[in-house]
Amino acid sequence: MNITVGFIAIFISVVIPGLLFLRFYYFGEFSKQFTTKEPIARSLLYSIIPGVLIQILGLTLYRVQVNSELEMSHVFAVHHNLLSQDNFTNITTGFLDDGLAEFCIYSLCIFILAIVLGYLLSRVIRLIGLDLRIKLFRFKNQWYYILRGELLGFKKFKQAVNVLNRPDLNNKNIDMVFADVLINSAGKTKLYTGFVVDYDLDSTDISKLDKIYLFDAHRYKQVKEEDPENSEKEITITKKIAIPGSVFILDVSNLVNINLLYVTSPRKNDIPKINKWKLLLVIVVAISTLFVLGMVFYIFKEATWINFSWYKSYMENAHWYDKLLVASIYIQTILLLLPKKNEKDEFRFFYNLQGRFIVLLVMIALFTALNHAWIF
Amino acid sequence: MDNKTIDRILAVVSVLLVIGIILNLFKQLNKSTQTNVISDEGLKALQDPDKKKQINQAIEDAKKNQLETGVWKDPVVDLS
Repeated sequence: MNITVGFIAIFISVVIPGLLFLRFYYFGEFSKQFTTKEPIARSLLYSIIPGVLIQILGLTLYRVQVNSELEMSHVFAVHHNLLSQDNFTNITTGFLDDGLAEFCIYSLCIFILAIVLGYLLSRVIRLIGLDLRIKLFRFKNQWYYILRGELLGFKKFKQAVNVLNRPDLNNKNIDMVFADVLINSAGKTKLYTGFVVDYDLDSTDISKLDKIYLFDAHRYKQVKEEDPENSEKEITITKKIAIPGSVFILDVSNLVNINLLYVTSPRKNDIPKINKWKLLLVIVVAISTLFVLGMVFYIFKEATWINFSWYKSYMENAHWYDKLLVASIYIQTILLLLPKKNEKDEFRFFYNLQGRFIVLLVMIALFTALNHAWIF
Repeated sequence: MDNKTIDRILAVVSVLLVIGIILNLFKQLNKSTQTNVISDEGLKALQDPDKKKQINQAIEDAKKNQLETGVWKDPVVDLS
């Protein structure tokens, strides 16, 4: 591949944002899905789709907020001209002479946008459990879902719960997992048990387990002992022997089978009730936050994304204490929607509403008094 | 001080507040989307001899219950 100016432009515009997005999208236990060990060609290919989407979003935001006169055809013309290496047209020459510094600042903003979007998207997916409900969003780390007990939230398991009438299987709030691990070592099977605290995936094939870290590990050993009923005879019995040490790291590359036992905590069973409201709450908060951010933004520059004449008129004419009160009323109203813990450590909506509601009423009264003194 | 100056001071305070809120949101989001295999409470409980005894007992009870009834029920232990 020849490295031309056009290639560098495409690399900066599409590939780098895509790579940054992927790097921040796959986090924590899912980070092995995107590593530097991946073949370069594959990484570049996978980065193109998110890179293009981020560029479209970035260009749209740029046109709306900064330069509404920017024509998309010019953007494509410059890229095409740079890639084809023909004689530069007036548009390309103009861009190279005057627009390069702005392009660098814009690209930096796009990189930040890619990082924020990658970070937020994957965490929102995890937060509202989209990866459990929709296979498309599921991360390629089946062992995390298995060891964390989250596979019980998969559609197939939920159906099984209904068919078998086993509501206990539906509990997603698992604190720890106890494992019986049978491995093959030098042609012999060995059984270990313990609480799983961590694990490693095979670096070449992330669908395979490589190591398991156990707390309070034990191994089973077959020993020959004298038969208590007949002293001349020996019997073989299986003994559970504690393995002294802080953490036992077990090589499970030759795993035969694994039996898991999820330990749950009763106080957590209440939390899923909040999930039903989470998505609605996120949407309400996001939309209204845009308006409040617009308020802040308005003082520096007109927030053109909020195209309501009443909003513009209000922002231009309202007094500072008026805006401050409106923002406070907004925050207080949002607080009313958020769940709170009660004395039993359970999350409840509209718990202890009186206090917040009174503060809200006082604010509205103050707002009315300051703006409509004629009432009194 | 005129209206515009106060507006600008408020804007700077608001920007700082918004940055603080965003940082706090990121912190909360990180906490809510942790991908540990064992929860923090679980890890603490394994270090506590009394809690560990309770957990082992709950596991033994669950196994015993399955032998007696044929139905498996995950052990439930209050770790708080």
